Amino acid sequence: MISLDLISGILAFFFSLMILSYLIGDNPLFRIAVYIFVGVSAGYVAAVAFWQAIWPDLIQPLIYGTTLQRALLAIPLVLSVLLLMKISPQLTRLGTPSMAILVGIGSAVAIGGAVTGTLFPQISATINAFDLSKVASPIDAIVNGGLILVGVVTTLAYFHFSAGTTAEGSVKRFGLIEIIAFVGGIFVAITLGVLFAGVYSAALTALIERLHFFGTFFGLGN
Amino acid sequence: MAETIKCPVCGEVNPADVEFCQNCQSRLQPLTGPLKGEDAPLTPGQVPTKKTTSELEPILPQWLREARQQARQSAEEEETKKEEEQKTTPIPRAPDLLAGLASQNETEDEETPDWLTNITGIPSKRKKIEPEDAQVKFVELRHEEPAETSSDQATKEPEQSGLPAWMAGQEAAPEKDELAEWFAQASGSAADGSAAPVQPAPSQPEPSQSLDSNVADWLKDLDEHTASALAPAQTAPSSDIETPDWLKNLDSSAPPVEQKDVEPAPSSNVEIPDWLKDLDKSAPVIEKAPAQSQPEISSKVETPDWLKNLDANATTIEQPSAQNVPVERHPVETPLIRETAETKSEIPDRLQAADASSETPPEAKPESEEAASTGLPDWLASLKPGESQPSESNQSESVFTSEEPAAPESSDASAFTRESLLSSDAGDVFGAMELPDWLTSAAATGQPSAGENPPSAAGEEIAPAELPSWVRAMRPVEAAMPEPSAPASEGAVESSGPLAGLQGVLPAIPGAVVPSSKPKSHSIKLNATAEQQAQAALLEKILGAETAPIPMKASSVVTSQRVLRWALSAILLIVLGGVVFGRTQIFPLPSQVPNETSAAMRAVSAIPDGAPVLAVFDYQPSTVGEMEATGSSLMNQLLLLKHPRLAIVSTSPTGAALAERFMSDALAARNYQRGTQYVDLGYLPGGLTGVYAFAQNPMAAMPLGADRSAVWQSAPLQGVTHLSDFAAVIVLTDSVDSGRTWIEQTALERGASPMIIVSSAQAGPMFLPYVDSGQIVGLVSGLSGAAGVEQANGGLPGFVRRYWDAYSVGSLIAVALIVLGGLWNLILGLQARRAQGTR
Repeated sequence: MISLDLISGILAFFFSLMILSYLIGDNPLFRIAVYIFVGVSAGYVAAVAFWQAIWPDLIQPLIYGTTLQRALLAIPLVLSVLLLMKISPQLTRLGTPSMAILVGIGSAVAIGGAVTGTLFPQISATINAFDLSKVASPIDAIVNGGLILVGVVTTLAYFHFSAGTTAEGSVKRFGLIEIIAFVGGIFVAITLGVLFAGVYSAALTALIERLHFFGTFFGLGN
Repeated sequence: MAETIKCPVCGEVNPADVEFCQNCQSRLQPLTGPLKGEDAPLTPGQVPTKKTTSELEPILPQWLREARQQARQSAEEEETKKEEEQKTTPIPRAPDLLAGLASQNETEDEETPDWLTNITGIPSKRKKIEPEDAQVKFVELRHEEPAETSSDQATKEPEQSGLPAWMAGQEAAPEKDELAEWFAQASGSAADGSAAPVQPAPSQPEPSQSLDSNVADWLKDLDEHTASALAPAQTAPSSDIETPDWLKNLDSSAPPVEQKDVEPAPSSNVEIPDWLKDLDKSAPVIEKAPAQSQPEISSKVETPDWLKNLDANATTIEQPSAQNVPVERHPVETPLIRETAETKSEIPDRLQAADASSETPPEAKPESEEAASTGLPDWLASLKPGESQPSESNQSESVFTSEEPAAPESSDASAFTRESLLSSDAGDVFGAMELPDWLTSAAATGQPSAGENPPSAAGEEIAPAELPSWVRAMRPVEAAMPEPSAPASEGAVESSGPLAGLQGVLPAIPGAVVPSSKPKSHSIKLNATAEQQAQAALLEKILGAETAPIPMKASSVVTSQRVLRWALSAILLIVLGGVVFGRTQIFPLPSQVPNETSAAMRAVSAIPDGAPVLAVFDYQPSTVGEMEATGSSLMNQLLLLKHPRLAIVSTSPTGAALAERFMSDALAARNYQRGTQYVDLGYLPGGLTGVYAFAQNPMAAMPLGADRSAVWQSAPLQGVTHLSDFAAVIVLTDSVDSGRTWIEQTALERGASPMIIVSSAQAGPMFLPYVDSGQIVGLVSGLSGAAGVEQANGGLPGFVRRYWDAYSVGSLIAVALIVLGGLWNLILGLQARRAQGTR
């Protein structure tokens, strides 16, 4: 008897091969696998969105909720209907208010979270890097704090693109900024190298996992 | 009649009634309406019609108009110079046919022109040649302003009144005709007995061609009286003109003579002054022509009445002189005449013809010459009572006698000498001199009879007129352009008028000769210097270099990249497959654990046993392999050591399914049960807003679980109402944004709850600052971070150990490929630079 796990394993195997076939170039097998994945994902997302967002948070309260809940849900209901007007080009303007609310609220939340969750804490951390009371050794504090400070300053200077016009007519940054930016470029390059190594590690791990799956599927792995 | 017209410019065949070419919009119909159908060439003996060719002046080519204008100016200058020279050193001129007219302008005592003296039978006095030149010039130019001569001032005023200059000049010229006097003296001895004493005639008005009112009354009366005596019908003179008494007497004394019909001399297309026509008429008088021809000619040819009358009068005089009065020739023995006689061969044909006609009756003697020597006007001398009237032949003989051909020759020569000077080739001018056909034919045939060549109306075919030599000499086209290949067949050459000889000037006329469609060739060669040509070549070279396509090597690059990709894929698949399938454990796990990983393990260790822990699964299915391998070690340690109650939530729609997979596969050894040990809150919609809302109030944000159950009342979430109620928040994510969202949005709501990030290797470095800032207490990034956790678990089996060899080999392969590739590129770059340096 064919178990569900076996069917799932066969599908996973073939789809994995179809995706890996991209190593030899774009081919119909790869495209088929991609299309199927997109379709399945969209269907799954739609089902999840309905059953885990729309039904419990909108429809179910409207049906089974109290009057107050229904009255309160009228606002998101109207906004949701107006947002659906974006589908039609003739009625797309009707969805603008809903979109404005989404953008306004999302921007406000994002900016507030960035300021309170990233900018201030990161600035504070950079300042506190030289706090000798929080480190074991002053040398470490100076070295680490110094590297962090130099890296932050030079990297910010690297993204400082203000420049003036020289006598020859060319555009060039101020000399000191140019030097600092050069150092910042080094930090940026190191950071990009790290990110590339992380991407490669992630992809390598995923490949190993698939190879391990193949071994397991064919009884080669443990 | 042709129904189509072939365009002379483009050769397009157009309907006959169209005015412009349908193809090139060239004019097909002539501009001047009166000239339509009248530009056909005249044949010898055909009576021409009067044409106003001056209307064509505006449409002449620019070069021709300029040449004509230049000719006039130069002629005026020449005349002025000659006039000055004559004033200083007068040179005797040969008698001229036309000189008499001009000389009359200059003489006070000789008011009668030659043609009038011929009528009277008195030989005309020889005239100065120079004024004649101007008149000939006028004849040639047709109503153009003649070159200024000595009588310019006298001719200017009459011109304004509408009279021709040569005619008006006679009226106002006060100068004395020296030539006339000379002839009068020369013929004095011969006409002693016969010539009556000539009375000095008062200055009489000159005949006019156009206005009868300008005709002297005495002339009209004379014509009237003579016409009344003649049997044939003549042009009726006006009866209301008062005839002077002395003229009446003279007229009464004049014997009636038999009328001789005079055949008019056909004129060519070139407009000839009427006086010249009259002379021509007088030439064929000797021939006996039907009398009926005279009225017809008069009616067709617009001859002034006074000229008609004179003509008729001449005929009346001719017969008796020819029959009854033998006229002796009295050649004027002058050096000038002898000189001209020697050059008789150069005499124009028309003059020779006229001379021949005059010689036909040998008995005709120009008694007028003898009479002219008396000083009386010719006409008066001829009308002297008792004298025989000079015949027409005498008139012509007096003018065209063989001994006196110098006058016309000199006149022509002087006239065309001025023009020939413009072309700087006098010999060519004289050599190319051609006369109208009617004159040449008249000379050839002697006296054309009216029966042989009846006067025809305009429009009949006549011989085409030829371009005067002075115009031909000024034509730059003939000198520069080659002759058309087939001008006769193309038929666009103008046969008459000032445009004679030109091709394609006037539009075609229906029924006329089909013009040629072949356009004239023009040189298109660019006149550029060698330097300009060199610069143009340089510019062309630069432009060519700019626009030259650069060969692309994309095909080879693409091929090499494809091969390289296949090679690298093969290497990785073979090596990694061998390592994975070989279950090798060559590479040991790292002994040192990163600080952030150690911090994460300490945070896990700090979680109270059985405390609620929020696990956020925010990664995509594509990173399941890495995230399960990375998170399983830490989660295994957590579940194994602390047995927490898990609440699973995800901001990704697929997060809940991946979490379920994680719990069932990666943590299968822990055998956690859903609903009792962990709950799945499911999908948290709204992104960062949803996270923020969840941080503010988890129960309100997600009241139900993924299975739509009231999870907040379940065992795993007992006592949890706020985010800070969780003992720890573990975020498993492969995205920096997702992890940062949880960090930022929950920073204020977490309170003392630690946050641990389990991230993919690609997002791990971005979370390190948050670790350093203390916003997250620990970070497990990638397989390397998980290796430290697994190493710390004391040999607890996990994914890391199974993947580690392959991971290490893959990393080494990547390092090796990167190094080798870099060296290869470095070598290629050095070789390229060396090659450039060699070049």
